[in-house]
Amino acid sequence: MSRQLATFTVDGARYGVDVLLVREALRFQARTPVPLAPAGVAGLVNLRGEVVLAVDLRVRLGIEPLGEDANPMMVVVQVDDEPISLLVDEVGDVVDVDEAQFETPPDTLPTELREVIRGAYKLPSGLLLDLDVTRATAHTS
Amino acid sequence: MEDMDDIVHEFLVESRENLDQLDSDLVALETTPGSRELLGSIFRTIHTIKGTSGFLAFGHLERLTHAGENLLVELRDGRREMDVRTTNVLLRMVDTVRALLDSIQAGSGEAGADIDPVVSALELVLAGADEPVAAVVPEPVVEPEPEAVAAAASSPKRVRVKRARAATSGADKPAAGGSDDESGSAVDTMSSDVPPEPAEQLKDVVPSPHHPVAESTRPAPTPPVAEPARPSLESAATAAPAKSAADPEVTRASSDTIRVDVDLLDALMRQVSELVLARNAISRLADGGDVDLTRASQRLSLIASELQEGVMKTRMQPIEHVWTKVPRMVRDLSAACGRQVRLEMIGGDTELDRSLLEAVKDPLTHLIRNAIDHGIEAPETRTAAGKAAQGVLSLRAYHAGGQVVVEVGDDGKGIDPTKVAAKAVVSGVRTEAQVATMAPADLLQLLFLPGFSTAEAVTNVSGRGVGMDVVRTKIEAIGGTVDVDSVLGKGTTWRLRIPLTLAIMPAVTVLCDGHTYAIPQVSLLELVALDAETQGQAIEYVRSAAVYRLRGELLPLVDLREVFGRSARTESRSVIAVLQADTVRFGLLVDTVSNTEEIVVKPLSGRLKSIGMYAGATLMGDGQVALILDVQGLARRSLAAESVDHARASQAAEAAVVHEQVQVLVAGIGGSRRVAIPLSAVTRLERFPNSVLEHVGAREVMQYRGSITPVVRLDRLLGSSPEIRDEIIVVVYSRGARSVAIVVDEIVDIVDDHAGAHSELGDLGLVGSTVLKDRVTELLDVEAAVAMADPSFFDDAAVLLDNDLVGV
Repeated sequence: MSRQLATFTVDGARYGVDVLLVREALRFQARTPVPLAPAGVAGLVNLRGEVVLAVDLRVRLGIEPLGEDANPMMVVVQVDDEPISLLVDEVGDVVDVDEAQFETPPDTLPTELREVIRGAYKLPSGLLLDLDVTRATAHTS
Repeated sequence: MEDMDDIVHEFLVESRENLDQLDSDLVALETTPGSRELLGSIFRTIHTIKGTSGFLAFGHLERLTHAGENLLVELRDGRREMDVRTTNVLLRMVDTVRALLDSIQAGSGEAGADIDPVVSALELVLAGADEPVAAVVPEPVVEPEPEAVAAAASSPKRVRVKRARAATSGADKPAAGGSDDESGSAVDTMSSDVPPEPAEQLKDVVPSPHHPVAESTRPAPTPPVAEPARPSLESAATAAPAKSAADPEVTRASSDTIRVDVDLLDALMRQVSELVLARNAISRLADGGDVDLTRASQRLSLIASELQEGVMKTRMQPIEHVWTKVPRMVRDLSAACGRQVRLEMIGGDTELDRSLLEAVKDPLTHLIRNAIDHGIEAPETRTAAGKAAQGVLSLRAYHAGGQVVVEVGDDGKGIDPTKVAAKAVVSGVRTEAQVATMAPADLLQLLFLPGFSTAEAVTNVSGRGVGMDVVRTKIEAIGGTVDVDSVLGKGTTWRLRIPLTLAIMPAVTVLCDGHTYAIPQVSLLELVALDAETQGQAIEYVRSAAVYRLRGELLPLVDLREVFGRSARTESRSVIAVLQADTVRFGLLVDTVSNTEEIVVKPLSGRLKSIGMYAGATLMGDGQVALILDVQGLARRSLAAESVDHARASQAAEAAVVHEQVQVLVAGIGGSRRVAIPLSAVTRLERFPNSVLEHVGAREVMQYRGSITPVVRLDRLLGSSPEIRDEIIVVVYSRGARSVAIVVDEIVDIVDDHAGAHSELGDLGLVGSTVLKDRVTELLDVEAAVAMADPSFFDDAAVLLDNDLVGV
């Protein structure tokens, strides 16, 4: 069974989310910080009149979060009927992947990362990590 | 009477719509006789009309629809199959109903149509249920009928079409499928059976062409004019000349109103919200730009405002819609509780957004139940207390400050703050020490705590303690507020303040650490700017808690930067936004206030709701997202109930022990003498011409805000030489509903008075003297001065209205 994944890179690693979940990719947008918000919430973005929550995946992926003044690109995904903007370093292509290429994450991956990374597709160009967006954006603390 | 007219009017509009539907339903039913859905719809329509006409005392209409309903019950229950004869008689009933409605609309009551023949026809069909179906109106006979009906009914065209369809559908059937038993019989009867029916129909349904003169009140005396509006107008003119002015409106009823899907209105409202945002952005861009752009932007601004208003209006409904059920409810409740209650409703035409109207329904019901069950006493108790046996429950609605205020008031026994306090201690929500320092108005606020009820007995009407907190939660959910005002023995008034609309609200935008936040105007009481010089002294500390003296009272301060964990403020200037959150008032320290504007509330991601600090988000003119602060949440987070009480307690302690600094109003009383009046005793400063002074006996009085107010002349009281002037300067001192006007010579200043400088040296009417601004100033004994003018002024301690409440 083949799927189409929209890809992007965060801190050098390539991640993919189901292309059907992705609404759009954006260049830098001004973010309004939300004081007291759980870690990982990177602020609110005005997406053509809609107020959209921006989430910094780095926090969930155990990487040092971006500063308030960083201007990353954004991938807007639909999670539980709510648009969420993911901060990413670079937006990549949409790629076709096959189940045959899929492999579950190695046992050495820390448990908290296992929750958000379902596994990896072994592509010729390198590994593409299958991101569970719902989990990655839920309970961002 | 006008209320009644409105109801009738609505009934007419609604029934007409329903009848149109009914026509087509009946006809459709004939082709699909088994359709339960259609039968259900028809039954409901007739049932509704029957119910409403019974309620509005239209006896004929009720009897007619009742007969029809009986027939429909049989159909619905499957005891009878739909046949042409049944259809005909039902359609006949519909027409007669319509004729009756026309007649009612024309102002001539139910005189317009004779229902007896139709009723008997219905009964005949009903009785003949078991007989083999016989009588069916054949086509040729149906034909002449439409014209006659056209003359009688106000919408002749529609009737004719429907009739024709009824007939053709019957006629179509055999062609479509001859084997069908029922349609077969229909064909048979159609060709064979005939006259009594049609003749009767002509005569009964449409008597008007035959007796146009005899029945001058008929809606359609002018024979076959195919224009529906004119006949009823004319008949109205002849039947009830006095009402003719109002009738055009009535006649237009069915044509000038349309029903619109609320979803569509919601969508419109959303788009208008976007437009408002775009307008905000453009007016920002146009600011200081070239003239043409500014002009265009101003026009856009104007149009957007008007459009916004217009769209909002489409969603507005008078609060009457909710109130219509109240009289009945009050009647039932007062019977159940053994009370005598007179209901007063004022301001029923006050309009409110539809969704908000829905939201206030339950709280209002609850408050009314409460007022009757707990507020208004039993007749014996009332007479014993010297009140009229009949209690008054008043509902009021009015616009105030961009909000709609809905009051539910009773003249019952009121709420005893001491009982509330006792209950609070018993149920453990407050300690004895805490309630001891609470003002009566604050005690009443405890009623809004979950599970709080002062009812001595739980009745099936109320008193189960799930009341007021639910009311408050519901009202707060729509951005409103609730407060209560109660005088023991005199009554209680619950006041709901509700925003006009949900989507757009006025707000103040403030800056904190470079980011913009919006504070709903509803919660904002006032703004106090602190400048560089005064800031250092203005903010004081009770231990670690910052406070500010706002007109002599300590206001707990919350620094938004601190709440948000931002770096401490470096700028020397800041602004205190004085906010009201349910029971507490507090000052929010922000960097600057930037603007007041209409903001569009955008829902916030569920992931941020748990923070409890934000009521939503909005977009600013420059496209930036700004968070809307949830004032209640902010208060809950920053001021734990204990700390608020603590602040109060320490405030009370400070006032009692130290009493170091009081603000006083320094006034001249002639002869270069100066008197200091504590500012807390001053309600207002006013200037009046001398001529306002009048006399009651030897006393000087003046009319102030609609009541006779005694006048104290400080110069005379303190033995100074009065100067005659054209104008008098008055210091108004109010206590509860009573006021005293203290006349002084001039207002000098408002200064801080240090108790340390006080001297005991005084005189009659003084409590001592002090040095203020390097001059000896006499300290006025306000109570003595007031008592001089109005000896009974302090007698009515119970009438004390708390300042907190008035300030809300």
